[in-house]
Amino acid sequence: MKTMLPAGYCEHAHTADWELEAWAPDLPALLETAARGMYAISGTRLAAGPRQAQSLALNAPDAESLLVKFLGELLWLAQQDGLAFDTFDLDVQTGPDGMLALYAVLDGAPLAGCEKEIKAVTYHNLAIRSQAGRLEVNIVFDV
Amino acid sequence: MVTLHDLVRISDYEWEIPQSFRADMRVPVRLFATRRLLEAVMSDKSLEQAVNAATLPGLVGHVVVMPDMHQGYGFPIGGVAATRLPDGVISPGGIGYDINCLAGDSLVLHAHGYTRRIDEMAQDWPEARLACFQLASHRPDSARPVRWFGQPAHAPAMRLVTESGRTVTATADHPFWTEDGMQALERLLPGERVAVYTFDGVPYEPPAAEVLVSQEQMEAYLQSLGKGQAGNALSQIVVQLKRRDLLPLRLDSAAVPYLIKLLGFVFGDGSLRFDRHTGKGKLAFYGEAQDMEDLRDDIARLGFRPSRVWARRRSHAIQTTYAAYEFEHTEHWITVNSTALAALLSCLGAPLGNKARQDYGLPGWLEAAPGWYRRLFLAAFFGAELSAPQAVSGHGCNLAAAVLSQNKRQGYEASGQAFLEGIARWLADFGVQASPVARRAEQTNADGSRSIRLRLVISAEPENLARLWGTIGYEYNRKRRALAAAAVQYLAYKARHIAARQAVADEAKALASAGLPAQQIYARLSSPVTNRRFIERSLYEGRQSPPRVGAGFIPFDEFRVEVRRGLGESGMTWERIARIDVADYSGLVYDFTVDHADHNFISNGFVVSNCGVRLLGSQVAYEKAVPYMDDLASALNQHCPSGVGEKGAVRMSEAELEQVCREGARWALKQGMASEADLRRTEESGRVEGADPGKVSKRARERGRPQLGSLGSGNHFIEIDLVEQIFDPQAAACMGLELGCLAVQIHCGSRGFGHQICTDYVEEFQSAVRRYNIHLPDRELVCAPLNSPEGQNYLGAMRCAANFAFANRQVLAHGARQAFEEVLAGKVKNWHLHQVYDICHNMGKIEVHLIDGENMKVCVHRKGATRAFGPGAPGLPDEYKAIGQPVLVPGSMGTASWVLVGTEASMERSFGSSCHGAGRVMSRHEAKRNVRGDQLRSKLEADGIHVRAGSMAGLAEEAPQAYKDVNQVVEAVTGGGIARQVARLRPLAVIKG
Repeated sequence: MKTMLPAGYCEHAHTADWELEAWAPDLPALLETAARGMYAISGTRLAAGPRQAQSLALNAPDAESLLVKFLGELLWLAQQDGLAFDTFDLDVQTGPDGMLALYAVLDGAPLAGCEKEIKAVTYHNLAIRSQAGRLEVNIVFDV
Repeated sequence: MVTLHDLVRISDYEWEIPQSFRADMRVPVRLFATRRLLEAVMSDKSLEQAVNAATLPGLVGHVVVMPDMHQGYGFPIGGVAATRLPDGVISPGGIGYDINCLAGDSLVLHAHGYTRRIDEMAQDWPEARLACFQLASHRPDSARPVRWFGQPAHAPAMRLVTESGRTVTATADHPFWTEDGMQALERLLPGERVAVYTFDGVPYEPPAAEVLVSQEQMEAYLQSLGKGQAGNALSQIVVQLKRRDLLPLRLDSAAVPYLIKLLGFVFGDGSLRFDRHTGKGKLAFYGEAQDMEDLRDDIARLGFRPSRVWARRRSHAIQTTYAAYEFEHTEHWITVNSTALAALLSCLGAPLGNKARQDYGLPGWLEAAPGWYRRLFLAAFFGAELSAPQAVSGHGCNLAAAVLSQNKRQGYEASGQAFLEGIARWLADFGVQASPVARRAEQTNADGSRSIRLRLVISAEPENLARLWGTIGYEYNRKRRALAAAAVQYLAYKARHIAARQAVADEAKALASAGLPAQQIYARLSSPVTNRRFIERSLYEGRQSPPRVGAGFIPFDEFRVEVRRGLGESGMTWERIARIDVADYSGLVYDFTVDHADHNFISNGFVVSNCGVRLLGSQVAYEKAVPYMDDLASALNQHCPSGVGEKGAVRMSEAELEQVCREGARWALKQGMASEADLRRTEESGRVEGADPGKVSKRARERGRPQLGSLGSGNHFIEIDLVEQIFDPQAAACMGLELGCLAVQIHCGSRGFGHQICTDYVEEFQSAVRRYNIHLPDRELVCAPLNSPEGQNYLGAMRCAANFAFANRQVLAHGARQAFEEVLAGKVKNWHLHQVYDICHNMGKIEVHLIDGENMKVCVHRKGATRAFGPGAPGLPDEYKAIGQPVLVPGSMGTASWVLVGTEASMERSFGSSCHGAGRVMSRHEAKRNVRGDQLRSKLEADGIHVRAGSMAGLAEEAPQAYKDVNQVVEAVTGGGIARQVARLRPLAVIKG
């Protein structure tokens, strides 16, 4: 059963892929929660080794695209550089043209392991909803 | 939500969700399933996803879903859909590919040769039939709009001007057809060439809503022909015409333009008669084969059935006043046996019987009809009778006058002259001038009568010819129409050249008047269009008339080849862009979407780029191999890297990756990791044409370079199987599958390379759907027109991923062969693994299929579905032509796999497709909850299956109970007739990432 914590995630049944539901009070928190949920269901573990910081700047025309882009960037960093993160400092701005800009400072470590490869973050039925004072989203990952 | 009650049963194994199930469906959905599988599929959203997929634009036939279907992330897994290859719409001035985001005063060319302002079509656009082209075959065509928009511009407006002065104002993202394919306006540069259509047509006038031929008039006419004397011929004709909405015939009927074209052609190269014995009406039309096909299409549109195109080679001997001519020629013609059509056309004014031996005139009712109706008649008549655009002999830079000739027997020449004078009068209404009709006596015929030749010469004055070919043109004569397009452009090019020379002449005289010495004038004014001699003559000899073209000016015959290069007989020509400016435009912009000759879409949500299965066979007897099975499993695990993030067996440079992208499995052949037989027994021979590494992102390359020769994880696997049962000994023998011997399956795809390409283009297509005004029920179904820049880019990239996957499976097969050699060499007599087949089950392919009785080139999207071509189908290796293409159906871990072959029925019913596996019934989440990976492994090993798995959680997700019963899946496709059983395999060892 989903709790009423301000932010959280849970996995839903999906026949062939993985579906994650995430909720949080605002968009930056939702992005962070989705990231943590993605790491959790893929069994991503951080090594105890030297910490590493990473900055990201991403643009997207809407919140869903920003979410896909952000999670996709984390997957890329995991698969190519072997890095994962457990500390997130996220800021989302809206430009004069309506484009969303994410400025992220991430802190993490090399990957200790990952149980399951996520191939891609999909747009399938992706829609960020505003419900009872918080944002919710269901994300399907191609595995 | 789809329920069992919504399904219509077609057969025991075939079901349909009708198109009426949801308003936005463009085609129905067909499923292949047993009753048991149907009930299972109701538990997930695969049928809803199939319905969503059925809303995509450009679909043909139906969406097909295989019995191993399950919910995907947009398009259902186990789904097949085909989209028609693209056509476009003519933009004003002939520039461009599609009417899309144009300024309101832009003129739209219609199929019947008239133009209208796009902003004036708000009310009646559904009735329009717009001119367009089939870009792939360079054929002119027509299309109906399905949407018309007027909206504020969503992108900056720009103005493109060509060297001839053709101008179009469009938004920056409007695509244009260039020598590099479709390109957005904002990406074009002056000097580049764009395809233009130089035919401008005539303005539109709405036809009056009045009766042209009433039933009473038709009956009276038929009586005058003697049709009402006996029997029920008269009433039959009336019934036939009424059935086709041709009686009463109204002037504004959609059929009238087609009737006018037929009428015009009958006056030229057609004949119309009533058989004197039977009284039945017969029509015949003569011309080139492709023009006869166009005639057939129009006749069919009226509801009549023309014959096929007949052909006959004949020798001709003609005696004229000047000489005797002998030549051979292949004639093409069509006939229509229809008394009703013959009666209607003759009632509308078509002459009956031998035209040379009777008096007739132009159809009187056309005098008061809209101008574009008269233009249609003239163009069709000219398609038969008017000379082709050609250069005068000599330097080849002057175009000859157009000539219309008619032969009449002596005694009938007066009406012939009146007929041609009527033609001249109609031409004058369009600003085209002709000389008085000339007469000349020709040969004396066998019966003693004299033939009189009448000629109407249309002035060769360049602007006159440009008006003739640019506004009237030709119908039913593609060759002459294409020549006319090039000729109009040549005349404009020549006019600019002459104007430039005139400007130099004027400037020279002005400079001389101002006192500039001649030498300085020569130096200042020398240019590509003039030389010193020209300037001298301008200064000293004076010019009474405009200058001629310069000595090196390109002759027409060279020009027309150059401007039509790669454009066939489409009627389009290349023209250079003079400039592109930012347009000061604040009005609405307008948009059409055309149906049928529609945007065709390749949807990224469909395709994950060549995940597939390879089957290798052997003559290794099971009994001989049993002692070594565990070693074999270990050797395979070692030679075929698997697991999350695992690198491949091959390290590649950037250049090598590009070679793999272009060459696919052939790259592996060059590295000594494949044989020609491997490639021959691979779908597409292991290489898809048209791969473009330039369309692959840096990120995708970085992911792909280290991964060639790796299995990956998830549901990818390598399996050693036993050929347990053979159902078709002949087919099994062709494949080299022997009962009791080993086989190896390899299931994997394009790895991170393909995934990244998919991710990149899903993101890019998010804006493409807005650009092309496509509304989708699911954002993952994003798509772009196949011939748009986005669509072409994705195709180029997807083909790279497909070729990477072919190469990947080939490298893994090489690893499997190394594993077998390592373990079995010296222990069994023949340890070699030979290729049975390699198939894709996630791919978009361009194929030809028979749809609604028409062979159609389509893009077939298969997502979790396999190509399953029947016997004799193109692309099959010789050894499989008799039996059909092998279809490989891996079961779940620990259960049987199947080898099938495709059938002819699959070509008709499922776009040559079949299932690809067992299909999931349980979510991964639930499988992990219910199954422990280590226990599963123990159970499998207890059943005699050797397991090598990188992740117990991953193993649990792939538990057999998470999948459908593969035997049921196979029963559904074989029961449905789209595949046939060949052999069943039992697993002996499984390697999973």
